[in-house]
Amino acid sequence: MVIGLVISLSVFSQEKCDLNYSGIVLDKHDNQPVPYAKIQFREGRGGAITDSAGYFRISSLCPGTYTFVCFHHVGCKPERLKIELQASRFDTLYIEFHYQELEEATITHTVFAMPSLSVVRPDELDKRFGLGKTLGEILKQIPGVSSLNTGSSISKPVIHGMHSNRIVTLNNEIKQEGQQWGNEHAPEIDPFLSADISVIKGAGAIRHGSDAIAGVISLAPEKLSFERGIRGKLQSTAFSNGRSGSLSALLESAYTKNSSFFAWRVQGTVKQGGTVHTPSYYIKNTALKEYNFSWNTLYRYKKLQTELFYSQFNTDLGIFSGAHVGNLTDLQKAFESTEPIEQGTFTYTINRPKQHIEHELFKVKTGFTFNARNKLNLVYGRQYNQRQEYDNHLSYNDSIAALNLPSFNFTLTTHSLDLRYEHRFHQKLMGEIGISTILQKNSWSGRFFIPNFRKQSAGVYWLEVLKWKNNELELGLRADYVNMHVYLYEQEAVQDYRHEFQKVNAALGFSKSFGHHLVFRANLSSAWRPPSINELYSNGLHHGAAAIEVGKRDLKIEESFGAQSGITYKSLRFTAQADVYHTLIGGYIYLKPTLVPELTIKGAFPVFEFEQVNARFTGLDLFFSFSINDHFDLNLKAAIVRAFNSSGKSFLVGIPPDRFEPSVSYGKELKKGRKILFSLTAPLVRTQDRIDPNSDYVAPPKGYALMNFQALCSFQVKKQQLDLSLEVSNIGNTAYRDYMNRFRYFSDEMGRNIGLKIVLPLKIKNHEK
Amino acid sequence: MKNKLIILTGLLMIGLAACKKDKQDVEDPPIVNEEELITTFKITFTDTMGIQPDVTATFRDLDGPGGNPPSVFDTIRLKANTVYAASIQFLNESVSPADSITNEILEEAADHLICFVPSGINAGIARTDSDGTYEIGLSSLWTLGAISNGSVLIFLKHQPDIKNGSCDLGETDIELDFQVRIE
Repeated sequence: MVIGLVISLSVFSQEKCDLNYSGIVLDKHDNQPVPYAKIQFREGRGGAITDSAGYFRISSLCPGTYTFVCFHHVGCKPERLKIELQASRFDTLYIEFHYQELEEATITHTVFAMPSLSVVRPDELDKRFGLGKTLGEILKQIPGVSSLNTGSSISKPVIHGMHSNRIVTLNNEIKQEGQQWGNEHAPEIDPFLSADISVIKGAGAIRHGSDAIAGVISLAPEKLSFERGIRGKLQSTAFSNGRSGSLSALLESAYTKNSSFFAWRVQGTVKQGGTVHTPSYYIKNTALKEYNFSWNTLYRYKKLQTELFYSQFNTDLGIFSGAHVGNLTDLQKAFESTEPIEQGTFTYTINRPKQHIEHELFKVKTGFTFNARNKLNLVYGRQYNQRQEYDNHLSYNDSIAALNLPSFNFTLTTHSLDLRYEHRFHQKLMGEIGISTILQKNSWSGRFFIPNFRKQSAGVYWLEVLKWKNNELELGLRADYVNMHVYLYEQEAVQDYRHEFQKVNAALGFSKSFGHHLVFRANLSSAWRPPSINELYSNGLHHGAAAIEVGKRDLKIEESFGAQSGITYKSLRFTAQADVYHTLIGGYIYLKPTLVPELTIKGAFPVFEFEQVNARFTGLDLFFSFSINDHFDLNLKAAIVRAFNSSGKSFLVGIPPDRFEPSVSYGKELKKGRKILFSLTAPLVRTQDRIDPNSDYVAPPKGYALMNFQALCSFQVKKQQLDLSLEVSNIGNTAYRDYMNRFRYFSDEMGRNIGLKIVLPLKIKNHEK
Repeated sequence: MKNKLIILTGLLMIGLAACKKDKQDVEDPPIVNEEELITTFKITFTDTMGIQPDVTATFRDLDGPGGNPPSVFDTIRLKANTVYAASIQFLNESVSPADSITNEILEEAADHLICFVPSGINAGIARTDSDGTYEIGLSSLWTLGAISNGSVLIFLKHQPDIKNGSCDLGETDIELDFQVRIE
């Protein structure tokens, strides 16, 4: 851990114990304030917790020498840094996060998030291990966040039991748009590009508009720095199950001249994997390929700054053919067998059925910093998303089959423009005003499932945070308007259907810190979302689900009203965080099975219709961490969600079951700066018994317990830094099925998986002085 | 400073120009499925003795699964104690003129198998065609006994590289449960 001090002014003091020591704590890497950091002196009882903007103040100090004892979020590492206090002063303190620390309650890379909400980042540790896994898997480390999986290659995040259009995913500050209504449509973002991950659990409607009912997931590359010299990083992973490997490389540099600074970075990732297997058999056709590329530039001149960012994400995914069932009789047969009827062998070939997805993002961000307290930012984003799904079956006609066309082909183009003004009136009042607009168009070819449409939306918001003593009060207000034109061929002509939605949302939050151990948070907010295009217009056989889904064109918006409260307790050896939430959703849209099956040439299919009911979500997220000594840590994460259809007096389907995750870790710093960390985690998942009879094809799978092991080693060879990690998931090669995996109807989850990861930071050219 | 501005503008231009584009017209959606549908199943029975008249039973769902329900789903009415030769046709009648899929299935005969499961009727059904190794089922012989009412499940299995004569393998592309009256 490194601390740097920047000394500001000093004034002659008197010999009385009335000195103040105050300051701001910043992250050494990105100069962002570090909220809820703990500062404590060995001498006396001086200590403080920084507020949500990184500020702290310790009063009534006597002149003298003070030694920092506790400096961090969690697990204070004694640090022999002394300051000489002879007068009241203000310091800027820089800290660097130790890989062992859990970052909690941090602000995302933008300045404000409502501090009364629970904002979490995955363990630095878990982030490193997570590299090479899907994003859904990485985010699962956070209590309250789980994932909805389709096999092992498709994973989408679930916050407090809600997913898809009830979560906003930010890809480098741009709201990710990519047919996210689909249960098997995962966020199209390169995990290697997402060095900066944070999750806001709780309604984020004020800053992000519609769809932020359950929370906001923010993924961004590491901020460009103006440090001169050429640097690089090479990362490589390999996994035994699926014999997959990935390689990611980046190169970055910066130039400065007088008051102008220029930084750039290029980055790319390739990944390939073959057939995965359960403890007993191979899951046929689960190979995948991914290739991503990005470049990023940052230019600063005095008070002006412009950033350009471009990224491309491409993937080909094999879909387990045993799950791509076209007929109900086949489906029932699949449910009844304990093993898939068709089992595979190992191959890297991706056969039909398969998905091909491309996502392109181009972002321009220009900012003007009037002074330290006033900033104006303009962000433009352009996204292109193409989603192609190839059925198992080629056309009967040979010439059509030779064209190798996808069965479904959706193209979504989105332009977004955001204007944001951040202001701060001394340290007590700070806020943000913003306007955001989105233009979107969708077109399809192949088989019909969702129609063409054009969508325009606009929103304006205002957020203000007021501080006094140890209290913070937040207020937010936002108005949104959405207009959509849907183009559908009906009655032998192209029809133009218009939909209009609008909503005003408000949020009220409060947080208070007691002494320097306890922070209490409470938040009341409303959020909303308009019905998604598939909920309005889908009509057809949902391939692979062997179900006909029928949209409803007169669906209204979903309106949520949530209350959330949390406590964070930190001491030298112990950390606890508990969050409790209760969200009411009016007009909750879900797929309801109708009783009458529909007859088709493939047999009878169950028909599902979209319906709106009142629903409520209640839950608890827990995190405990206990440091037995300087090396051993005991942790426990837990999340419980209870979701209920209050109109129909029934349980909602697809809600994550209760999850507990105890873990133990051992970390040590060896000589020559080497660090090692071992950790053993046991995820325990209960069965989902809160379901109604006849609400699902198959009963939910039994609960299960797994054992995962991780070892991380960080050392230097000659002058080269090297981070190595070994990971063994499902050590016991347990056969199990997870309720939140749509393939649980057909096959078990992956068996044991051994992963190896190497991270090589490179210093290609040092800055010449 | 000037150089950097040029580089930035250049990148901006490249960024916008090199972007992938959607060339389709949003306001002009596709009308016809490029994907091929099998909309119609026809089974024609011919008396091997030439006495009884031909019987045809049809299933027709012109817009495919979803949308409108099937417009025709005949009951198969046959004469007792007769031996019929049955012939199956698959058509795509969503296009004009109607497209025959039967020949294409015949071309890929080694990947397809048609199965018959009678229920409650006095009938013995045997396939009479072959792909060289295994039967196909586009042609079959129905030997009927006494008067009875019931049904017959007719289904088409797609069994690429796995065909072995069994009806349990592969994906079911067509499954129709016809009511049968043997009068």
